[in-house]
Amino acid sequence: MTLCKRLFAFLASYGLSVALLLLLMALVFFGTLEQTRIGLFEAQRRYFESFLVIHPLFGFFPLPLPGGYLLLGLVFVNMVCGGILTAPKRLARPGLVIAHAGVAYLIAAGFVTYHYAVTGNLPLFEGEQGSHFQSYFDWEIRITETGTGSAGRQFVIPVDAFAHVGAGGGLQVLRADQLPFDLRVSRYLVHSRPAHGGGPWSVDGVTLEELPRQQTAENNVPGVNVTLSGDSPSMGLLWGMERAPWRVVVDGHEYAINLGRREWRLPFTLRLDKFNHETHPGTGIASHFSSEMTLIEGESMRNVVIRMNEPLRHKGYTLYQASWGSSDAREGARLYSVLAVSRDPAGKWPMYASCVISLGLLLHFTQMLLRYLRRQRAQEM
Amino acid sequence: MKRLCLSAVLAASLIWGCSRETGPLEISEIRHVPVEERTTPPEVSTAARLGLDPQGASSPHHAHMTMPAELGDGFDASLLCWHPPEGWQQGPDRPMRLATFIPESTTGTECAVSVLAGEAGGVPANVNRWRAQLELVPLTTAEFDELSVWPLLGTKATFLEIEGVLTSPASGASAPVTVYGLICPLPDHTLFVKMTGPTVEMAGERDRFEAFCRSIHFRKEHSE
Repeated sequence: MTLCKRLFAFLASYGLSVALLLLLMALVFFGTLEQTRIGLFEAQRRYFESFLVIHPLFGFFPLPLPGGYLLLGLVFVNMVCGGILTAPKRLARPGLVIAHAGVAYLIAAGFVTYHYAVTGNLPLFEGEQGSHFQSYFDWEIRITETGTGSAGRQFVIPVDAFAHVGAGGGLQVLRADQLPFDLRVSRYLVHSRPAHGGGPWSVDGVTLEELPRQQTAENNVPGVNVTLSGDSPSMGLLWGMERAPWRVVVDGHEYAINLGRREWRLPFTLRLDKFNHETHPGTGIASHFSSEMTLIEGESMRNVVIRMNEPLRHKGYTLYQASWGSSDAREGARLYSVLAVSRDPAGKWPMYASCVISLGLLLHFTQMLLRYLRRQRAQEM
Repeated sequence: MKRLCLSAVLAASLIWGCSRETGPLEISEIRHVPVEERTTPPEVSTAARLGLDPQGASSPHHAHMTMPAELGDGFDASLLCWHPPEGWQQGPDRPMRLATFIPESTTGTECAVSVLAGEAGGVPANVNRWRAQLELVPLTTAEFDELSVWPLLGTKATFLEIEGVLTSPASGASAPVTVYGLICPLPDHTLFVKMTGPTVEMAGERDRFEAFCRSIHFRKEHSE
């Protein structure tokens, strides 16, 4: 047997299926336990979006485990090889092949969502309109050409491009042909705050102190040390909650550099006309809330209402009613509504996959039942 | 089988190596900013830009601090004094507040002092308003009567400690939050001291909050 055949036989084997399912069970178990310590976002990242994870068993024993990304990739291959390619394909018994194809489809949906979906939120006060939404977790550095006569370009660097630099220091050079300088990121802190102080990382007597990561990932406020290359290199600090961007002038051109939550522009504009909410009697807990909005696209305008469990789907975006505020607003106070925005190319794939799996299993079990009944009838005769 | 394992290790190494690329990166995402948003930011110091304002912030070791005069609705705030505990820094001025303090080594914790005219709705209403902010049900009369009462400014102040959940306006996410509050009715005004922060940070601030509240006093010439 050639190496390829042996490899294929291994990937299609029941043994691999059982091993993968056991490992997935262990991963879910340990990941769920660890989530209480490190928070949901970090547990998801370390255990389920990774190739390899080292779990601290009993708090100190390092137990290496394959990560969820690797395991689900292997389950997909195992499902395709064992459940579809090598499965007996008879028109009389199509159920299991269809069900396995559905599971593979479900995993593919997860892959597409993980790599290509974006989610964020759009907070709007009554009377306010917006056409971009921001991420809950991801950040970006923006270099914006400012001042009169500027081209108004904004160069955007997602956090993934420099996060590996870390708190201990490193270097990531970022450049664009249209910029007269390189931006060098030399330090990245996941959660930080500014403080007066000296040291190698300080700028103008101010430094960024590293803080322990928050369990709730959206509460982390990152900070970076950056340097602009050029004839007179200048150092700057960028912080997620800074009051104003860092202003620099290079070759007579003005730039504003800042660190902010990742933003995406919507292909339409939404205006919040009225926000309605009701709370459970005697509490501040919302029982029902909805946003009456105007959807603006060029010259066309139409009224839409977004309610709890009744999202607006438009041009590939889904907008849900997520929350509102402020929770302590007095009677007549101006309220704001927070819409959760999602753009997921595979948003409906899990539903389709569930239908495919259900169809396959229904066919299979119906056939099994019919076969059983036929046998019973034959025995009785 | 050995070759199989070797191939798997090699593939894993390649994937691991690719994810740690540190060479120069070309910025590929370029947006267009509307003309009205191309404003030049103010030229300010790094400290001011990052929210550290040396002029506005006082030393945490400042022994004796007073409120700015005539803040509040007709209340002569200059008559009040207090001693902020070690480790608290005075924050920048905020609307509707006489003072804000931020404990060192905290990220989202602050203590606000404010004075409102009259009863400001009354102590029970304000206690329940703070509870509602943390998505908690109002206290019954019996529960309210069990709250601690501290002697302060010649009268009795109600202290409360609340643990609940606060929803972030920006993200809609909820997080466990603790509030220490003190409400002190005065003859024509009500004094509020409210400290809010993530529960993990607030655990170590309880004693300092109490020490701060107990340090609040009128200047000697005051005869209210």
